[in-house]
Formats: sequence, structure tokens, C-alpha cells
Amino acid sequence: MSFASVLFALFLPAVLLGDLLLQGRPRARKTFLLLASYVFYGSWDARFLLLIAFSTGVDWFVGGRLAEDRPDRERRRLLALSLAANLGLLGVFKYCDWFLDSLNRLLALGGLGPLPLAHLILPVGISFYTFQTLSYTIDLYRRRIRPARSLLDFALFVAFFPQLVAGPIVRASEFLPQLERMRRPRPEDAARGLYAVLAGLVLKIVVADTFGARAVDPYYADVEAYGLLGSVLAHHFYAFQVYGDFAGYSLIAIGCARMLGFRLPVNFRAPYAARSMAELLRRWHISLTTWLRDYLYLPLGGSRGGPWRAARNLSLTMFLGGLWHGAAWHFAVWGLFLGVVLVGSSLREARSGPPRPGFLRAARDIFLTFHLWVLTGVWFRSPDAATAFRVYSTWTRLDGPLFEPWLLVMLAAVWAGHLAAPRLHPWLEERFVRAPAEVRGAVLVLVLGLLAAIQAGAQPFIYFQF
Amino acid sequence: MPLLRTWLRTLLGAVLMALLTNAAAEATGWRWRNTSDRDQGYLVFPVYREQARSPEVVFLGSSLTRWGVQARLLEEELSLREGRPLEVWNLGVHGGTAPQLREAGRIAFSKGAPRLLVVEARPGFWNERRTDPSVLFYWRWFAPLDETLLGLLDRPWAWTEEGLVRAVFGARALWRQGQFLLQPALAERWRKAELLDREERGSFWPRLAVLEALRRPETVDEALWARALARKEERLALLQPFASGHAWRGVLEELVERCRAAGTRLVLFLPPVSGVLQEAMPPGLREAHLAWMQEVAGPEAVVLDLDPLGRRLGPAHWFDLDHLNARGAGILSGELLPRLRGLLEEAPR
Repeated sequence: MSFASVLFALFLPAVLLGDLLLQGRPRARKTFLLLASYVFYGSWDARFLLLIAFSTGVDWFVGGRLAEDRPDRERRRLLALSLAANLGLLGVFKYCDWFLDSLNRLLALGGLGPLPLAHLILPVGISFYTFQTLSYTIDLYRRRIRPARSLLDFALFVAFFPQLVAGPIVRASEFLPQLERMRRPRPEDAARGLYAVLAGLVLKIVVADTFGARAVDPYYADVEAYGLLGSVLAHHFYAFQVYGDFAGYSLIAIGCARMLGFRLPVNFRAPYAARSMAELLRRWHISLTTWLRDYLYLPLGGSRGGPWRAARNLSLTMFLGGLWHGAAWHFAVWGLFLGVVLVGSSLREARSGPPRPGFLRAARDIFLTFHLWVLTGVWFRSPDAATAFRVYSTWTRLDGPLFEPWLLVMLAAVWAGHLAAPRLHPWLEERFVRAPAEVRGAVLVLVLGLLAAIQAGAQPFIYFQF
Repeated sequence: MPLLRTWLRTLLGAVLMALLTNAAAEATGWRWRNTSDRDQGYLVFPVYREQARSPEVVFLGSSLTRWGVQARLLEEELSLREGRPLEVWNLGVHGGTAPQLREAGRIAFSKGAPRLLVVEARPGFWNERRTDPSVLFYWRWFAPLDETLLGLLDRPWAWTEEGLVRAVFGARALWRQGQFLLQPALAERWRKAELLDREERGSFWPRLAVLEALRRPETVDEALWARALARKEERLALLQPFASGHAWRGVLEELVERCRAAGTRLVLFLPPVSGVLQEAMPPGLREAHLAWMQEVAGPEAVVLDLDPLGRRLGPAHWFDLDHLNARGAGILSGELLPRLRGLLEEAPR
């Protein structure tokens, strides 16, 4: 059940209505939301529910014991159990076939026969809820949070449907206190939530799907037909396709949660308006980058031990972050490439201090940063290394087609909207929230009509595959 | 409860806007203006509604009718014979499912009563269990909300989904006009399509192209025919379920009633099926279908069986297993037109 589907458009009002009828009964509300979340997740494949139940059960068990006063050695064992269970799940379902395939290539070099692949289905959202539950046990191990009050609270924290499948990755410290309070949603939450949902759908269907179907897919179907300009433009489209897809999903998730009275963290802050790669990653998929920072980069040593050690830790973190996005070597190369670029950017930031003011300087920095992102993005989109190299090889030519003029006009409009987003977005939101509810309903129909006019068969969210 | 009140007011605004935009799209004819080439055939509806009065003859059917030449040739012949311009409109649309024909039937009578209503009636066309994209078009463009909601558990979810999206067809149509601003070339293409529909009265092939095609010696495209044969099973699956007694019945009864009330002569004709498919069709299917149609349509309606013609047509007359090429369609017209001419002479003026 994708957010951009009619089924979800029926599911969400049903959940809102159920939640509304149960106001004043917190336990019943939580039970209802948990059941709704399982229905949502089970709509992909009911078997996935077993995995989420397993993950929930293990971390509830581990969390309960970590909260008790136990010797450090035992606490370490409990944490290891949680890590092994969650990363084991991820390893089996996400990386098993990739590992076996890579091994088979090595074996083939030695003339040995291939090992059979497992051909397991990748359960949607497994990378997200695994990281979410891990944050719970790690934070408990570090004694930074209190345990969930009940299994119901913990199960709902893991499975809460708005962010279950593609984030934002919510920390227990952010969500469990909200479950303890179970605040009643107010009319303002309804308005702000609806705005976020509509904005997210527009980003997903108008920007991401249009750019994907009309520019990126045709480009990748025949990369060699294009020259430098066509290729760079294709990657501008791709950059906004990924942004629209994932930021769109995050906004819908934030909006749905808000309508139910919950707050989820902001996940994107106009990343392409960043003036350095380090800043771009601070604005991009914030819940993942901060997760990687807190649970991987800092435990590796962070920036302690000098610039070379910091560079190593950063590169390793980004390499693993790349692999988190997908079990394929091109994602690993993308992560590593991004890590190297980020090291350079961080060193430069450390040497020259924060960016200096000035319109032209800002424009130059944004231009350079975005094109570094584009340079690395080739590895993210290319299905394999050979395609990525083919893309780069076309950058020596100036010939080749561009894109239809209306697409270029739309790209320019999206760029302008993105750069103006920090002011435009709150302004629009305030207008929407302050408007009478009837006007908001009318806007809803107009936006749905726009989505129906554009939608040429719903495209799956890119981040579902992660 | 303030929250409940907020949601109810939001819902009220949504319903009002949906009604307003739907009515606006209907009144302007924008409902049928869209950007999908496959749906372009629906443009004929608003163009038809622009006419001052009803034509002499209206054809209803699927792509076989839309791409056929019978309507075009009948108009030529009648005009020559009568010595005055006579109008024959072709309201054939892709899919030709029962509910699409219901809508087309309503539109056919919107300008008064034609003297003859000629309806293509091959069993599979009116089969609502079909799974090809044409059926999705029906749910996207035609299905009324009550039909979408009733029996939603009894059909593929994708169809219901399209039917529900249709509730905002007005807003969708309004946005579609915006696309013409972004893509002037598209607007030009649609303007030409509208012009063609207006000039050719819904027939896909312009008059000159038909005449030229009929004169041109055809050569068999072996590769195309082989591809069509490879898809035989898929085609057969569309024909065999034979759901005539299901969705068809209500539509046919509605058409019969309209014709009766308006004094229009109803003609149901079974178009030819290519020999390859005929061999594979269950025995007795055609006869059962013809008998059933006659029973539902009553004695006033004329049922014409042109199916046997399929045995005389070879690969040179088809461009796939379903659709006749211009030459095949010319032969079909040669069989059909004399009978229609006779019926038209008998029909009240």
C-alpha cells in the first residue's frame, strides 16, 4: 500500500476516523494504531509481519534487561544479541544474494562452480525499522533513554505506519515520550498534517515521477546518445527525482503522523541550497545521516585522533551508508566516492571556516556543491559500474540531444522553488493552515486532480528498495 | 468536538469543489480532452455534442468500428445516392466495453434521434471481465461512482482505483488544460485531432485515405501476422468468457429502450473474426450469442451476422487478429452497407 495510491487514500481517513472515535482512551488508541500499522505493512506481504514481530520481540526482551541493573559484561552480551539479531536479519534478507554473487565471481576466477543463490524477497522497510530498533537498544545500553513502558508502546514505536517503510528513522528518545503522553490531535494538527501530505504527494508525483519517467529513464535507456550537457541535465533531473521521491515520502509520513497528533523529525532542509558537501549531507536525509554519525562514525572515533583518522572514519561510514542503500557494488562505490568528497569538503571547511556572505560566492558554492553531488549521483543511478563509466565517457562530447523544452522549464521552476523553499514552504503552510477548513478541502481536490492528471501509473517509491 | 468539525468542514469543501469542477469540465467538454494518445478517440464525444442536430446514422462499437471504414463509406454512398449531404457519425471508441457503449449510446441520442443506430456486437467486446488496458480506460473515464462502489470486491482492484480517481475528473481535466500551455505542440496535435473528428465525423481514416487504401494492392506483412498469431491465446481469452448475459444485458436493454422511444432502428452486427480465431472458438458460441441478442433486443431490432465473412478473409485483410486493415474493412463494408441502405430506406424519416 503505497502512499501514492488510492488504497492509501481510503486507508488513511479510516485510520483517522478510528483514532478520532477512540480519543480519551490512550491504550485503545495505541492498540488501534498498532493494528492499523500491521495491516499497512502486511498489505505488501503478510509474511513480513513475522520479521517485524521477531525484531520487536528480540529488542523488547533485550531492552527490558538492559534497563535493569546488570554487570557490564552481561549488558555487552545483550547488546551483541540485539545487534546480531537485527543485523543478521538485514544480512540474510538484504545482502545474502549479493554476497553469494560476489563470491561466485571470485570462485569463477579460480575455475570453481557457483554456489546457489537464496533468492529471498527483500522485505520493504527492513533497513529502516532495523536501524530504529537498534537505536533503542544502543541508547538503552548507553543509558541515554528510559525503556518503553509497555510492549504495546514499543511495538507501536517499531511499526508506526507513517514512517515504517521509508523513514524518517525515528529515535526512541523522540517517539516514546509521545506515546506516554498520547496527546489528542488538534484542528491545527489536521491542517498542518494535510498540508505536509499534499506537499509530499506533489513532490513525489509531480516532480519525482515526471522527471523519472520523462527524462531520467529515457536518458538511461541510451546514455551514449547524449553529450556532456544532456548528461548533466539528466542528472539534474535525477537529483530532483531522488529528492522529490524521498523528501516527498518523508513529508507524507510527517503529515500522516501529525494528523494523528505525533511529531516526526524533519528529514530534508533544501539540501541542494547547501554551500558545501558537508552542509548538503547535514540537510539530506537528516535522520539517516545523524543515525550514521551517532551510531557508526562517533563510535569509530569520529574526528578524534587527527585528520587522517577522521577521514578514514568518515570514508568508512559513508561506504557502509552507501551499502545500506542497496546490496550492490555501485552503491558501495557511491558511498565511498561520497565519503572521499566529504573528507575534502570537511578539510576545506575546517581550513577556511564557515562560508563567507555574498550572493555571487553563495551562487558559486551552491553550483559547485550541487555538481559534485551530480558527479557522485551517477554511481547511485547507474545499474552497474560499466554504465557509470559509459556516462562519464560521454562527458567528453558536446553533441547529442537535450530534453523537451517544457521539461527544462519545469526543471528551472523546481530549482527556483527549491532555493526559495526555506521561505516559500512556511509561507504556503501558514496560508493553508489559516484558511477556512472548507478552502483546505477544495485545495485537496484540486491537488488530487493535479496528481491524477499527471500520474501515468504510480511509480514505486525509490527508497522502498532500501 | 472541534477536530471532528474541522474534518467535516474539510470534507464539505472537497465535495463542493469536486462537484463544481466536474460540472465545469462537463460543460466545457474538457472532460474528454486529455493527453493520452490511446484515449484520444474520446474527443469525438464533445465534437459530436457541438452539432446542431442528430445525424442520419450513428455507429457505436470498439476500435474495430473506430478504425473501420464502414461509417465513412456509408456516408459517401448515401450522400451520392440522395444528392444531398447526409451525416453518418462514428462513435466507436477503444475497448468498446458494455459501460463505454452505454455512455456512447447516451451521447448518440443527445442531439435527437438518429434514424439508424448500428452497434458492433462481438461477444468479447462487451465482456466486463476483460483485463486489457481498454477496460481500465472505462473505469478511468466512464464508470459512475455507484457502479465503482458496488461490487468492488468482485473485480480487480486496479479498476476500482481508476473508478475512484474518476471522482475528481473535473479537477484533473482542468489541470490537463495547463499541460497544453507547457506543451504547445501537444495543443496543436489535439486541435488537429478535433478537426479530424469534426470533418470525418469520428472516423479515424480520412475519406481520401480510405479511398486510396481501398485501391492500393496490399502485401502480407508476414512478421506482423506471425506476431499476431503468437498473441492468439491472449486474444482468445478476451473472446471466450462470453459475458453477454452479464453487463451487456442492461446496456443492450437501455439501447433498445432509447431506440424504441426515439423511433430509431437498431442494428446489431457481429463483425468477422479472423479465421485463426474462428477455428479456436468454442463451437456454438456465435449462434448462442446471436440468439441471445435477438431475444434481448426484440423483434424490432435487426441482428446481422457478418462473422462467416471471416472465413473468406486471409492474412492480407487484417493487421492483427482483431482489426481489419483498410482492404479487409472495405470488404466488410461491401457486405454491410447494402443491408444498412435497405434498412435506412425502411426507417422513418
